Amino acid sequence: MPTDNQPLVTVTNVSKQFGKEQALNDISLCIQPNEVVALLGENGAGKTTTIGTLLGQLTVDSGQVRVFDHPAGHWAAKQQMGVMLQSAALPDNVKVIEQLRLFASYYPNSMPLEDVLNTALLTDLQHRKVQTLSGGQKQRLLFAMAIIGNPRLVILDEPTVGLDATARREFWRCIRALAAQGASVLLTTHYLEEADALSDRIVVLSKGQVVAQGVPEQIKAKLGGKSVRFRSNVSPEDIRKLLPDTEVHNRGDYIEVYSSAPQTHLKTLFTAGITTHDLTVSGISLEDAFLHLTQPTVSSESSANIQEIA
Amino acid sequence: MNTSQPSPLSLFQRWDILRLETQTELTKTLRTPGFVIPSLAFPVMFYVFFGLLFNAMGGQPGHGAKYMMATYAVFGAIGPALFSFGADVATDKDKGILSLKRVSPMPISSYFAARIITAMLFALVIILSLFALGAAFGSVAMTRGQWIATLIIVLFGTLPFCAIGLFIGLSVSAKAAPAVVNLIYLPMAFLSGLWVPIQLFPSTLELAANIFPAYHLAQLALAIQGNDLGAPWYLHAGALAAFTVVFLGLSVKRFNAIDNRH
Amino acid sequence: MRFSIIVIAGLALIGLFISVLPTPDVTTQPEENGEVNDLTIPASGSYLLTNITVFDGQQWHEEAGLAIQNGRVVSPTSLSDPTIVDGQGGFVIPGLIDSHTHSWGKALHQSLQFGVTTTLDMFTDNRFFLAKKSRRSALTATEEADLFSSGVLVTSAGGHGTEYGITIPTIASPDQAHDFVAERLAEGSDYIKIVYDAAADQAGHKGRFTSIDYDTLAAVIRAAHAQEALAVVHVMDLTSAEHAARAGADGLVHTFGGTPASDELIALMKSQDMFVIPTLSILASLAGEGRGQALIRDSVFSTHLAADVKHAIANDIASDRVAEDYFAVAIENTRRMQEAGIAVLAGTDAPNQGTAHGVSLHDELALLVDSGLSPTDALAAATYLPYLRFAVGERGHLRSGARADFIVLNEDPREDIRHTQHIRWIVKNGSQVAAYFESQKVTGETPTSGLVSQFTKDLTSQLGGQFVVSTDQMMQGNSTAEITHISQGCDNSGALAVNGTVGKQFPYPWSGVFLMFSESIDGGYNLSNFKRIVFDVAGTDGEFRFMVLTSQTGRPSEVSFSITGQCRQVSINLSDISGVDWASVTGIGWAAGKATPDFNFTLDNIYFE
Repeated sequence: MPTDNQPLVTVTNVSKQFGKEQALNDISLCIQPNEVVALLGENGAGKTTTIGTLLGQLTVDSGQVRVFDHPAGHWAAKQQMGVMLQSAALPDNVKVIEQLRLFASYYPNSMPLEDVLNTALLTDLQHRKVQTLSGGQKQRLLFAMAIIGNPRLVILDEPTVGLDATARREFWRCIRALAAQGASVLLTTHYLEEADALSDRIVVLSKGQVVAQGVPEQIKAKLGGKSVRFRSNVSPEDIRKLLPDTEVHNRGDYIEVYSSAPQTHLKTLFTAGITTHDLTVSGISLEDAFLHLTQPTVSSESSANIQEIA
Repeated sequence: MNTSQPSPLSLFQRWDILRLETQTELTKTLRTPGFVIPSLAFPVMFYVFFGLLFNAMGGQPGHGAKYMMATYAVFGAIGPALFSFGADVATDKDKGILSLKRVSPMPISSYFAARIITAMLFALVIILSLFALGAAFGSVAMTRGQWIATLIIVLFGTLPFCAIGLFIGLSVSAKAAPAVVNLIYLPMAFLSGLWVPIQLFPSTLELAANIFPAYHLAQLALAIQGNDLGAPWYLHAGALAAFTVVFLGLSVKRFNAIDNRH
Repeated sequence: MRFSIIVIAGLALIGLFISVLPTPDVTTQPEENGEVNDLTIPASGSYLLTNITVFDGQQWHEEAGLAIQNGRVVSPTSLSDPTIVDGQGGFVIPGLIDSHTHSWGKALHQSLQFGVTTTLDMFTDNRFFLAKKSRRSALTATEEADLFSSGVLVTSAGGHGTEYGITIPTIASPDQAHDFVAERLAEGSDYIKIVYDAAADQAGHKGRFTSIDYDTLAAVIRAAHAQEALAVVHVMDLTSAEHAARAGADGLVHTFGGTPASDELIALMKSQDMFVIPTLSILASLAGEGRGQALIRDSVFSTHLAADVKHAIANDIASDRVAEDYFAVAIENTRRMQEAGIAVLAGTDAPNQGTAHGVSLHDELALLVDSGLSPTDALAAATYLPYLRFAVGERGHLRSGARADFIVLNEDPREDIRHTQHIRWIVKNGSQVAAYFESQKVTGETPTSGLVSQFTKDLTSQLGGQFVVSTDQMMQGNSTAEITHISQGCDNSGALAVNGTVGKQFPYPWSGVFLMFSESIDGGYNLSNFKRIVFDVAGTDGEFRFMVLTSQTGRPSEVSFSITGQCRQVSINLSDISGVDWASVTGIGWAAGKATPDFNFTLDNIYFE
């Protein structure tokens, strides 16, 4: 049995191929006790596939998956885990409390139902049928089912997809409450904001590879900038000289600058007397960020960063 | 938080899971009057029309009603089995409920066992209703042993249909499943002589009925009252066992395929 | 916990539900019941039947045993190291005694198949009786019931009993009584049966029979008693019954419907310790109660009744001369006699129409219970009471010394007298005999072609057998017939011509031609593959009868057809002729009856198809 300081989950050099598509490419990751890990990535990055291998739903082509020092899908592993699947829906005409009571029976040391209802903010909804719940309430019910067995590890696959801002915040409260009780959480998301808000550590997946991992600040530093776009009469090389710690690209007749401190950098540009037309400053999309992280040709520095963080 | 070590499920826990699964399954089903009413009412209604009115048209008192009671009991009992597995499993599969159960520590056998029990409870209600009707209005009289044997055979005779339903449920989408089940259920019921005595069929059709498990179950049920066509019981029982094994095997294959499709 | 209670309650409900579902009165025969094994009686004939409940004729013994040696019941202690035969929980009753029958042909065989091991005949042909009487003392295995009989009955010339075509002596006056009785006893009669109808000589009497008068009745009874014989009287009405009682009869062999029994009659019978054999079975047939149909359709016997038995009981006499409440009064009379303490004995009057040997006695027991007897009393009426009243030797009980005649039943007849129908095994003289459901069916030879004859050259039958004249002369009738081959028949080819007269001497006259397939009664042809018989016929206008004789039945089955002067084809569906076991047909015939006193017809192109 793993002791408290051994990792709960270790994924070592796992690859998985669906047909021609390489879904996972030599992935390694581990989850420590009392740790909230966010698996961050775009749709199709391999998040759900990774979780599939952890749950034993999928067999890996190569590499090794150990969960609580058992093979994935082992009953002892399942017993210490709670899972919220991305695609799951619930039978419509079952009441919340009935659904929870049923799942509670699956685990030898399940939580008292009141505690679960409290944690998942469902106390007032317990006698409602599933079909009358809102999207957020349904997600919280699925969450409640994931935590009902007093698990040491909770896996949440895209728990907040499709929720509005309020519902998402409520959900976050639930996850934080869970983490506060000492459980490890692995959640997948494609919102950096969400990963940042909840996790102790972020693992960034792109095209089946781990492209970055680290504490949120490190990842945010990499991904958390803004995109500054403008048309100008100067070349990107000139800009690069002015702003050496940024990345500069040509986008058609625009110049795009990724900046972690856009105000300072813009000031530098204006001070240098560079004229800008059609200036926009926008949040950087994760896609852009991953592009940025996974294109070592653009910046050797970023490749070095990955090495450092890993 | 969780300080206790994992431990295999005790027999009591397994029983508890089965009990709750069954309870949930039943509640779910009972809250779907669109399923409950037709599956209870159809066999009963058909029996009243064909079994009891046929009976009133002459012949030995209670004879037609007795014959039809057995065949409509089979008809009524295999319906819930096919639908509970065919349509409901397809829904659970499509909704991801099946996957959720799979990744939870519950033994998945409990899920299927609960469905079998639910289907059988429905079958039980249908069979007993037909018994009551036959006895009250069709002058059906059988020995206690015959009543019990009919009940038990038809009840456990639903197993092959659970297997067939399961295969359908795992093979087609939730939307298509009810149609596929009906496409198999209704023609099979007719061609197996569940609605109209098989003796009235041309002999080629009578021979062709051998390919339907419902025919074999009906013959077993009729053998109890001595109204079968005369083939030995073990052939019918063997055919039913074979159907069960084949469709269970096919279902296991499909079941494993489903999990790998993520 | 709650769940377990629900499950248990559910199961209990289902159990309750099942337990109230109707079960048939009819249960399966032992041969279909896998739990019951065959009876294995050791060759020594000496064994101890155990694991049974025994009715010894008077009392029930639970968990008893029955020791049998050399065809008799013996004391269990007299068997050293007996072979144990497992009675498998059966209910043992003494072999039944039918106290009113008329016997010929297969009667004794048929009786025994239903567990009637002794029959008390009330008039039969002495040739039959005397042949059987000599066998009844044997203790060896037999397939026939023991026969006791009055032999020839005592009646007047033209009285009831003279109509059957057997010439019998009759009595005219009291002074003949002593000699008449002496002659009967010399012939071998076991008791004296007298036919008496008080109203026969009264004006307006509707019956066709004469009767002895009261003085003769009284004289015959005195003569019988003087010669230490029992005198029993056939009466069918209250007055005759009162006369019989007054004349000192030992018993009445019928009760009567129509008039309620008078208190005087009951008091007289009681004071003289008379018995009555109500024969409710035949009175039910007379009243058209449909008891036979009920036995055919809805009894334990239903599935195994032979065609001839069904034929015999299918149709009641259903006389239109009896009143609506005739049978109810008969039942009531029986009830009152029983309540008054008069011994009631079970008898059927088989094989009169609507009754048959053996099977009807079981129904008689049910009728006696309907008349207020307890099931045990009804059993005694067919066992111990005949033993007490008639000199039948050690028959009718199962105490030490009794003849080992008994029936093992599957069900307890104390619960329901109809349980006597649930026969498991029948034992006669200590040996098992075939019950009705076990008896081998006789199947004759199957002819290859259905052609009987075209009479091309002579009267040869292609089917085999021989065309012979058959008339009621064999029953002392005076009908005549002759058969010839003629060359110009219906299609101007050879044909069979029959000429004859139908006499009036025998009440059921016939005259015609029969084709007898077999000399012996047991052979015959299996014609069950054929659907109909077809023949060309022309002759005297009128109704004629086509008759079928089988090895199982003494009496031919018949169906009528009409003949005209015009030659035409007649086709008769074999299924329209009831009571025929087509597996063993011994003969077919074409006969004229009363309606055509002088007749002739030609037959041609006869074939089965």
